[in-house]
This record gives sequence, structure tokens and C-alpha cells, in this order.
Amino acid sequence: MAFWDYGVKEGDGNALAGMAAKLGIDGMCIFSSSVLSGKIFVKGILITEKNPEMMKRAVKKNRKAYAVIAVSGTDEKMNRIATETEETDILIPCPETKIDFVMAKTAKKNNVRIAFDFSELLHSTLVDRGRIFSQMVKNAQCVRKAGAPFMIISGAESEFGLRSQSEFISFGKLLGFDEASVKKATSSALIDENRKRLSGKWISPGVEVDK
Amino acid sequence: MKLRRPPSMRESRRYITFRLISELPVSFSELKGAVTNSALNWVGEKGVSLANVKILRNLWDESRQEGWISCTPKSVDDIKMSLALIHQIGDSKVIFRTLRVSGTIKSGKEKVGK
Repeated sequence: MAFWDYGVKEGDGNALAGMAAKLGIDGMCIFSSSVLSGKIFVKGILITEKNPEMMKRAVKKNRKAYAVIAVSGTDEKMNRIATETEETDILIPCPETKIDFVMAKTAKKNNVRIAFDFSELLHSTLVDRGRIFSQMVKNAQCVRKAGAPFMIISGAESEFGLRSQSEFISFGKLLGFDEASVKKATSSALIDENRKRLSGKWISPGVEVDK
Repeated sequence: MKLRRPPSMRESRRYITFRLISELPVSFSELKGAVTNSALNWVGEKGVSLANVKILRNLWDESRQEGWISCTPKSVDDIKMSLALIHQIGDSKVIFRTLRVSGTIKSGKEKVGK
């Protein structure tokens, strides 16, 4: 199964590609505005609006322009609105914001993947790291109970922020997920689906134009 | 006669093979300090003592920057996570990439292909 990292925030194209080859990463979605060429890169957008209406508008406006749309959930209200927006692919909740059972159920219904950002742990220390991980475990519990889709992302800001699949699996296991579901969550399924959507033949789930 | 533990009392172990990707070459002492600190931060003193973490000095390959860590089977994920959380050793940025987890050094070497 191919291994994708859907949450690379910044980075130099060549350095990222070189490191991806060393770590066995098959593809990555980049949220930076810089132009990156290469087979493994896919352009995504991270929406960081703090107003729910503006966020919804931005998601709908960018749906056809980007392969992956991620929303940064700055608080519980934004998390809820993001899970209610069908066009959202990934919700990246802020480190200490809650995901409750209702949000997780809505995320499942709208197929919004709830992301667990490894960089939040990587760049925090001691007490903060403990608090962030504890909240992540609670969020993961709700996600598991509701059967909502999830995703583990590196949140890398340079090539040294990337991690291999093996590390993601360990992180997932510590959050309470099993190995198979982590592998599925980091596979190319999302990008394959979105590429189909961007091709112009896609109308709605299960309905495609066959020429 | 030397008193030894009977084989039935010997505790099970797992060997984690890792490769260090870094800007500058890292020595064994720097590596040991970084791994120990990270494990202490992540699982705590009790966790480290229960995990029985050992960094194998004689298997550290400085030219290839590859090494081995042994721990108990239950603590493999915690140790892998603590390795993943190391992002800097000295002034050099680093990434630990876990290659294999094996039950014996021999099988680990076969799997890694040495």
C-alpha cells in the first residue's frame, strides 16, 4: 500500500523529494504557496480563516482548484463547522481543541478526515507535549467510537519534519488505532478519489460521466 | 560455578534497527545521550526502567549511521515514538528511520540485509 503524507506545510522541493525517497514516502500534499514540480507532490490548501462563514466560502471556492482541502480548526466551533462542510477533506484541529462524539459522527457522515498532527508533539516539550498528547488520545477515542475517518500527518515545515510510515504506525498505535487502519489512513485513497473528482467526469459519489 | 538465570526466566526482547539521517555525522555518545533523554521525556524514568532500553554499542555502524536498540516487546511502540521525537542532536537536524523490529539480532540482520 502506498504511503502518503497529506500534511506538509512548507519546504524546498528538491530537499523534500530527496528525503521522501530516503524515508519511503510515495507522495505528499503540500500546503505552501511555492510552486513545486514533481510526480510525488500534490497541491493542497490549508484554510486558516477564523470566521466560520468565510471558512465555508473559502472551502467551496477552492474545491475545484486544489486536490486536497484542509481546514485548521482553531476552536471547537470551527471544528464543528468544518466537519459539517462536505467539501472539506481534512480537519486539522488545533492541539488543545476537543473533538466530541457528535463532531466525529458528522465527520463520518460527510467523509471529513480528522487529522492528528505529529509536528505538534515534535515541536513541544515536556508538560505541553503531555497535555497535547492527552487531548489527542481523547479525540482519537471519539473518532474510533464513531468510526470516523482519520489521518496522521507530519505537519512538516522542512524536510527534517518528515517521518516514515513505521513511525506513523507507532504514533497511531499509541493513539489507540490498529496498524491496518493507520496504513489505510495514510494510503493514496484520498488523492485517487480527488483526482477523479477533478477530472471533470465526476458528478457525485457513484455517478460519473462515461464517454 | 557461576549462578545463572534458567532459560525459562529469561525475558523476551525486541531489537529495533534504525538508520539516522542527519546533516552531520553523529557519534555514539551523542546518539546515546539523545536517545536516553528522549525516552526519559516520553515514557519517564519508570517507563525506561520497565522497557529495559539498551543501545548496542558494538552494533553501531558510524559510517552507515545505523544502529540497534533493544527493549521489551510491550515497549516497542513507545521507544519507536521516542526515537521519532528526536529532531536535533547537537547542531545537526536528524531523523530516525526504523528499519526493522526483530526478535533476535541474527534475524534482524537477515531482514535488513546485512
